[in-house]
Amino acid sequence: MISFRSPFTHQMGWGRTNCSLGISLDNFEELPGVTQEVLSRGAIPSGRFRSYGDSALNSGGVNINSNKFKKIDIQTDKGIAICGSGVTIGELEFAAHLHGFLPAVVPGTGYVTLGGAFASDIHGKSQQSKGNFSDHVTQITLIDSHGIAHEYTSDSAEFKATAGGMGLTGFISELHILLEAVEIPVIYQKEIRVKSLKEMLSSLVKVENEFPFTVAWIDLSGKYHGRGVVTAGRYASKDEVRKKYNLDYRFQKHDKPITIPFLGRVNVMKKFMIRVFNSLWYHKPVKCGLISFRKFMHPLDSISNWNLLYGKSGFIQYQFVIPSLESDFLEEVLLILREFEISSAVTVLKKFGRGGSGYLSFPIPGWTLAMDFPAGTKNLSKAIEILDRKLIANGGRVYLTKDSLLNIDAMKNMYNELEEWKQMKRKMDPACFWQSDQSRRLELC
Amino acid sequence: MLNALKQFQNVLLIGGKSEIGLETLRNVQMVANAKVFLLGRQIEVQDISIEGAQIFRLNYDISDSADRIEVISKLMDEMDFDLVVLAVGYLGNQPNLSTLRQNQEILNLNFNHSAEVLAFVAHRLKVQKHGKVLILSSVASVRPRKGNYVYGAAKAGLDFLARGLQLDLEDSGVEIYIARPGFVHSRMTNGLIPAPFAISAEKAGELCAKGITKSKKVFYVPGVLRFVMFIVSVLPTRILKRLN
Ligand SMILES: Cc1cc2nc3c(=O)[nH]c(=O)nc-3n(C[C@H](O)[C@H](O)[C@H](O)COP(=O)(O)OP(=O)(O)OC[C@H]3O[C@@H](n4cnc5c(N)ncnc54)[C@H](O)[C@@H]3O)c2cc1C
Repeated sequence: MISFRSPFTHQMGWGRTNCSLGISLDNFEELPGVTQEVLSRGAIPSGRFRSYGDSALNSGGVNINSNKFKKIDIQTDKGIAICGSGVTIGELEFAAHLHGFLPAVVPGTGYVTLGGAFASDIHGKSQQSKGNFSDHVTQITLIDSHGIAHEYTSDSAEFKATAGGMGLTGFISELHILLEAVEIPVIYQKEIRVKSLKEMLSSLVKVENEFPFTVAWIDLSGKYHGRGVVTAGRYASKDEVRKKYNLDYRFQKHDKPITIPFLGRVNVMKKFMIRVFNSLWYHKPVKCGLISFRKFMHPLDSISNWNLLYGKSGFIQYQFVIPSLESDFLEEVLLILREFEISSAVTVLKKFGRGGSGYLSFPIPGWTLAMDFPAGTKNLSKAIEILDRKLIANGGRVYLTKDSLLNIDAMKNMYNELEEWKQMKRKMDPACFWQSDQSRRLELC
Repeated sequence: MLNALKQFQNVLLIGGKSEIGLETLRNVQMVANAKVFLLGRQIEVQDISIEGAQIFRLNYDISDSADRIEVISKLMDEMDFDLVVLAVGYLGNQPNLSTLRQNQEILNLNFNHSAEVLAFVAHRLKVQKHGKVLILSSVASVRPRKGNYVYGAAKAGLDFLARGLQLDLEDSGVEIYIARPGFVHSRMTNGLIPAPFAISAEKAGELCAKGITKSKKVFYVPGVLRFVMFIVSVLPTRILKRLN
């Protein structure tokens, strides 16, 4: 049958700043049906498009989605889950908790796929104690550009090139994930309100002995003092939970988030609103006590479309890590933002413990800061250029899965194992079939 | 590839010595160290710089049928272009029926060859599904004037083709912009008597750079010429002749 509808669809990252026309496929069998012209643009695997920029986009080319790879097999004796790459973190949490397990590393949202989590080598609130996502994966199945599946274990160079490799080494179809045995999916949470950046850093360091999960929310607006709230957590025991009858910690198979209507056209996150929002957050009562695992790990998941708050032009998340535990660099960042009058709506600070095992894994020991800027913010480009430069001078780097602004030279200077990665890329994908808008922007193939 | 702030990374100027073209590039938003390719005759000997960008100068003669597409094709195989400016322009002398050969050259450079290049570029951008093209047309394309109707005819042809491409490329991710400058002080117009609303090449470039960020795909440089040319195009010939 002749179809008059264009096979191309619009695809966007979570920040909605980059939008590309590509052909979306669910499996490899459909690939031969694609024209040569489109194939000349290569393909990129994709999951739930929770990366912020253009990592999962491929303008003019193919996008192979993992949503049909849904197998979940929990092997309780070994404590591992054998999962398809299209399973989301939320779905794995649900399946695992039924057997008394949970994944050791989960991000701020449950709506990312395991394939996406591995390709970005993501981290969570447990980073300083448990490392990164790929540290808990023992084996992956990777499909190459000819459709042939290969199995790679965690000691192989192919594994290291794929962890954090942004989908550019092939399509991950299956992963073996080590799970953590937990008594009950409930967290004992402690929140501490802090007045300054210095206090925040020392508080984060102090709580980490007792709490494996830590994160801080920081106010980057108004006076830029670095005030905020430190959140720490640990698994609660069954005994602790038993004393508190009214706690609803049960997992729903499908959570039903709220959708805010009429969003998406205008930017609600104007400077004034950002200030009000930050101020409210700072003054909200701090909580200490039990909280369900999901609420603690994925606080933003209760609203499905909050990214539309920034309107048509979208927003940029700029997340960096700096290999120092001193406060100097972070103080400087506050100063730069204050000078340019740039405020961030939601800002998260965290301490990283160990580095990532992939060549392009983002984490290195130090502080990581993630900031959300509306794309239309004045002077943003200038400020980010300065930040990039200072980061490079101090051995820091920007997170590729959040990135949509890096340039080629900056990338080279930030990722010191880029050459090793490129060598593996040439070996695993000599024809450079796997490409994305990000790989074009950063000349990664 | 464009970044999140819609800054250009790879830019191509065909007609690399065009002052309006270069001034346009000096005013568009580019990433640090953007790659700018300038294609023009003996361009290597020219000293051209654009702040913050890497400049690559390639000798290119649009009338050379072997090179015309080949050079551009090779470049486009290498990388995606976010912006292509087609700024080939040759005014020639006053049209004169006895200088048919020269008329032919005006038509070839401004229309035949440019059209071939434009169609090629448009097709390549359509495959990559993103990118902008800016075509430097002219107000001369709106209504014939005794002094430059051959040039006007060629520009009218190119302008028409470009508007056709705009329709064809709707929803393809590619955007085609047509700028219709009036009299711009430049090498090309040196020695001519300035027409009303004449502007400098710097100003024209600034306006073109602004133009390609807007939703209006056909724009006049300066904008006031839209009204002037509207009036000119509806005036009866009798009156127009008298005004001339
Ligand atoms: C609200 C929110 C909170 C977040 N919190 C965190 C956090 O706390 N920590 C953190 O590290 N990250 C966080 N992220 C980022 C997110 O975890 C990553 O961007 C993740 O990669 C998104 O997964 P996805 O399934 O949506 O993949 P996509 O966005 O679709 O793709 C991301 C990358 O993974 C590749 N990829 C996807 N599937 C496959 C596959 N099957 N095979 C090979 N490559 C593949 C793509 O090619 C692309 O390069 C957050 C994002 C959001 C929106």
